[in-house]
Amino acid sequence: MPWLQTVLDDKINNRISSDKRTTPTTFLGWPRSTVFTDVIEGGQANFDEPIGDLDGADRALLYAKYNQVRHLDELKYAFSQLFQPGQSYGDPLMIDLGCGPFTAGLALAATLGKNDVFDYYGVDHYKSMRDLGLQLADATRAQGALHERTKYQFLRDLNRVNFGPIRGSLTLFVASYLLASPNLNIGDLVRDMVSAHSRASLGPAAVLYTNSARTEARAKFPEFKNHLIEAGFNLVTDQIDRFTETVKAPTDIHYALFFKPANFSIRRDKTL
Amino acid sequence: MKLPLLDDLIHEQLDIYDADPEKPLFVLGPPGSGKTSLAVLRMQLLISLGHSCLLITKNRLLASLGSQLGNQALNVNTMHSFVSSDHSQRIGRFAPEPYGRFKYDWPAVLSNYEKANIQPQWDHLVIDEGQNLPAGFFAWAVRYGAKTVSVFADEDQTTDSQRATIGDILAAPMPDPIRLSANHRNTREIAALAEHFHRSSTLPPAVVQRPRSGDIPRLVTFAQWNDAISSIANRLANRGGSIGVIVYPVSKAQTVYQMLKFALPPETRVDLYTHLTPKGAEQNIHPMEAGITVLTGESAIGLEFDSVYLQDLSRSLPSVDKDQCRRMYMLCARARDSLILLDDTPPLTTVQLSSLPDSTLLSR
Repeated sequence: MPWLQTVLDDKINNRISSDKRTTPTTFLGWPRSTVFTDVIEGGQANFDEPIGDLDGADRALLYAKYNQVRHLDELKYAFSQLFQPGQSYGDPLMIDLGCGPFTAGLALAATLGKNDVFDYYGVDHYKSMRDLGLQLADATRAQGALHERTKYQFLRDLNRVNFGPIRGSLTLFVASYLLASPNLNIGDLVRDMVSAHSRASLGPAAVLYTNSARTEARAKFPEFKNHLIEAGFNLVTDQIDRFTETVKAPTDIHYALFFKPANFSIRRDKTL
Repeated sequence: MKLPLLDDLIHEQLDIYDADPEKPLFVLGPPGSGKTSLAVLRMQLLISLGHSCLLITKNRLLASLGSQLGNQALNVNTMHSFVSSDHSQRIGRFAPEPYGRFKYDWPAVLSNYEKANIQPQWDHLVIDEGQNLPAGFFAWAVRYGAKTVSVFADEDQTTDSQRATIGDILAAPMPDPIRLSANHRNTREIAALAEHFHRSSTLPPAVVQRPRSGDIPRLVTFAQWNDAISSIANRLANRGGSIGVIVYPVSKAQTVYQMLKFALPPETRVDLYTHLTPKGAEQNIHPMEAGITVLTGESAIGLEFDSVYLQDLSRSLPSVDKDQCRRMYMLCARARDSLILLDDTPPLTTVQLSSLPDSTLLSR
């Protein structure tokens, strides 16, 4: 996937390596040995808040350098199993929860190729992440790796998304490394997901969950699962496996897939 | 990591064919979802169970098509003909039409039937493309038309001034609708252009099941109809199949028909259907067979062709209001494999042209 490496190099790796602050022992002037713990805080930092001489954009950039490649490998592998050419579920709508720098969008573009259309909505609390995600999405488009009709948007609040006319195609929610966030209200999250799906589509919906297999990272999964099942989703897969299809060191990951069939009725709203 | 194919999780929808024949059925079917075929299948099921049943459509050509699909073994009629003759036979006078021909005073019709204590004669009415029938008809059909009624409709394809919304049909009363979810007709490119004009927040387009063809719909500008006639004749010679030429107004459709007849070998099927076509002539039109059918937009509802040449654009562009969008959505979706939009004289205005989608959906 030459375009993907080009995008990652242009928008992340080269920007960091060519930054005047970067030295043999630092990235952007921050000691490399403590970037993961102190700058990106294992992925749970406030990415809009400056730290030392680093602003939010710097922190998002370092997050991408440290965490994105592994997440990208996981999602590419997952999507390569979920999707196939000539699919019968229509042009998928992807809602990437806690999207970070367009990670699931990059993985879906790499899986579907430039001949398939998808709509991508990246939702992230942090502006620095949304800005970097948009840069990566634009770079992907510039590389010709997206279908001309593929659209993407980055938003802070899922409840503010206007999905346009109702659709019948598949909606895929991606909740990748999202539940590790200590401030997340799971009930509100699932309620927002159900609301978004009902506004967007009468088609089927799937939720792909991935996370570290560490106990503390998985602490909120049971609640997430229960809320989704209450909302009409079926649990299709719930596994912990060692993930080896990555250029990074193999680690155990927890993944799950939920599925909700299409609604073959219609919404009963004020138009009726 | 081991995950299933999402395709394997998506089950076929409830089979309409298996719906209880003794109960009313309301089906919403976007373009290409097979409304007419399912209506005919339901008729055949009902007949096999010994029910007396009648298929009702808006226009004579669609009625004829329903008859052809049912191997001429079905009772098929247009709504106007059915209501008119039923009223005459059972009430003893013509149905009241105070607003013009075929524009019935439905409250008065209902009152006439109630006073005469009329009971339904048919076991089952199956109504196809119900969105283009007047709202009052459904209340009448449920009470006096038949003991049980099935309706197949899509309000997003409404083209008629006398129309019924989903709400109108539900108020008949009819049960909550089941929607058809798969489009088996259009290529992805044609469906994408049609969906550009889809505005509904109620019923989504059906999901296309056919693959990409690589043939993006085209807008062709021409100064003389002779050029378009040559193009249509060449396509028929080279690719065969059924071709629909959708033209407005009726007088131009008649001219185009004559030009095609003149340009093509005499053995070629070239038919013309408009509301002025003599009654009964529609029985000899076979729009799904190889050859050319020239027709107006109003007559195209419910039909499909391998290739469509769509000249009836000026009424639907710029697509700023719901009716224009619905017309374009319906007309574009008539094409299975190939769709050519024709910009003839007088040409479309700049505003109309700019309302058409860009080259990702429509090449020029």
